Amino acid sequence: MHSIAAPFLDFGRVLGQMLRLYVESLAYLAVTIKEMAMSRKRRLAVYSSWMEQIYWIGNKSVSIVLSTIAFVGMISIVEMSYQMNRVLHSTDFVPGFAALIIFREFASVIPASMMAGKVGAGITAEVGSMQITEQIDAMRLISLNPVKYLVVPRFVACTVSLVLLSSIASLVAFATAMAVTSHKLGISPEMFINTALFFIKPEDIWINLFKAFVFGQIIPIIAAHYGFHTRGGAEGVGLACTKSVVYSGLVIVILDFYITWAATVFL
Amino acid sequence: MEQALSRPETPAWISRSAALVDAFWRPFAGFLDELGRLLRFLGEVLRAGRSRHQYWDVVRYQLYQVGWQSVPIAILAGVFVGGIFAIQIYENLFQFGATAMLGGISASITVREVGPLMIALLLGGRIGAFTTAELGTMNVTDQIDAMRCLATDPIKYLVVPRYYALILMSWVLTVIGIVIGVLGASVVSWFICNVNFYLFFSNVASLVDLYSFLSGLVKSMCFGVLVSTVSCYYGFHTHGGAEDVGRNVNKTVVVLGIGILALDYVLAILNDAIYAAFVAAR
Repeated sequence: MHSIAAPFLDFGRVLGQMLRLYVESLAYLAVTIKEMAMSRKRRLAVYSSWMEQIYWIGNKSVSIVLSTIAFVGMISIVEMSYQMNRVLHSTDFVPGFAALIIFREFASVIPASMMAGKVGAGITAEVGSMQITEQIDAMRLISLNPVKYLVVPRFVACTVSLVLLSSIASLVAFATAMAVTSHKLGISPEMFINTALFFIKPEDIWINLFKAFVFGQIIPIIAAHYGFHTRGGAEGVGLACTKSVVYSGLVIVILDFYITWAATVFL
Repeated sequence: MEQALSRPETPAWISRSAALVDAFWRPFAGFLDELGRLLRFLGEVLRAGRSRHQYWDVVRYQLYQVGWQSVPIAILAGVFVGGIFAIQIYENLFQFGATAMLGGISASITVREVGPLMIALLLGGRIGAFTTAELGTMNVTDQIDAMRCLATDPIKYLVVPRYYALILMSWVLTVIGIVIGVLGASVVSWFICNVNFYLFFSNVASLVDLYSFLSGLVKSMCFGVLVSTVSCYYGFHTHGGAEDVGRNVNKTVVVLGIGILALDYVLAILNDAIYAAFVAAR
């Protein structure tokens, strides 16, 4: 009985801890914003720490996010043209379908999963090695809250940079898709843009940005959770990194499904 | 020494333009350099794997770690990815009144593209980083040199079993992911898109053929080779301390993310060319 129920109990416990970390970091974000409003010195300090994290999280991920999304744009054209040739016996609507699926899904999910691999593992490794060398306990001892000083800057930076990166990524995927279409199917760029604009609605872009906003909040929370719960030496850090990458990828896919469903129902 | 001092000085514009060319060439040269090293490592592994393999217990352990422990994640990801694609394709086909094709198209996309790609990204995140961290830690603590001292070929003992496990298990997981993805898509299209099971599966047989299934399996094998090559290469070439292990794990994740999608594009083009030349012509 216990052995059957154990994974579910474990799942519930971990989910509860993550939700608690999320609420805690939102609360400390509010506290930080209040402090920033009150004193100029504090405002400059917090601002510089946020900017530093945005540099490490956002700028350092530009190359991986843009190069992966460029290939995704090209792959979606190749695959769509094969399918449309077989089903509709014409490739006239390939730009529309490809642009739709790029703007709705790939532009937020691919950057988010790449960030989960690069940034999420980085946050887990950083926080986890601080945990096993007892630096987190030392922070608590001098009454610095680890959530406020470690998680909140990464939380803000990851959310901001994922929203920005996903909006750049959608344009890059659109451009590479356009290049491959004009090369492979002989559809001119003007024609591509006309067909794509016929299919894309403004809601699609808003949903894409909303998805990026949600995923950008989830990645640092899951990563910091597994960082705080790291036990036992260097292997423990490696295991925590693997767990953080796998579970943030899974949570991204699952939430993406529910957001897509909600979008089809309500829009 | 005197000769070097008395050499006429290079004009400023030459050195400046040379620096400019260098700045543009250097990333590309670094990329080619890394690619060549990866291919040389692959050749080393193939040479080590040619002789008779003797560490089957290691292979069995790797199969357990790579494969069996990834099955729940593959099932969970497969259901939701299949569902997402079913909803998106339904939205497209609904405008043409062609919802009867929903099952055929989503099954065909899952078999050809999404299944292998999903499993490869999953294995890259789950196995790639872990393998680099493991081998890198063994390297910086001199365990690999100790293995060489004991006349055990580290490539044969550490790397070749991972290749076997990753290739075999990427096939198994791809088949699992495809089956679960199509089932998830059918359930989602029944409950959300009002396309029942009968309509969903009516066009699957005509749109999914043996060729697309085999091309998906070849693709997943290539991804398995890529994941194991990159992760083992960066693990073996870790020097220094714990920070270098972290840096190489990061490199592995980045290279795998870009490499899997780039390889997928190349394979998709090749697949299209082969299909147009041999299969569609008949």
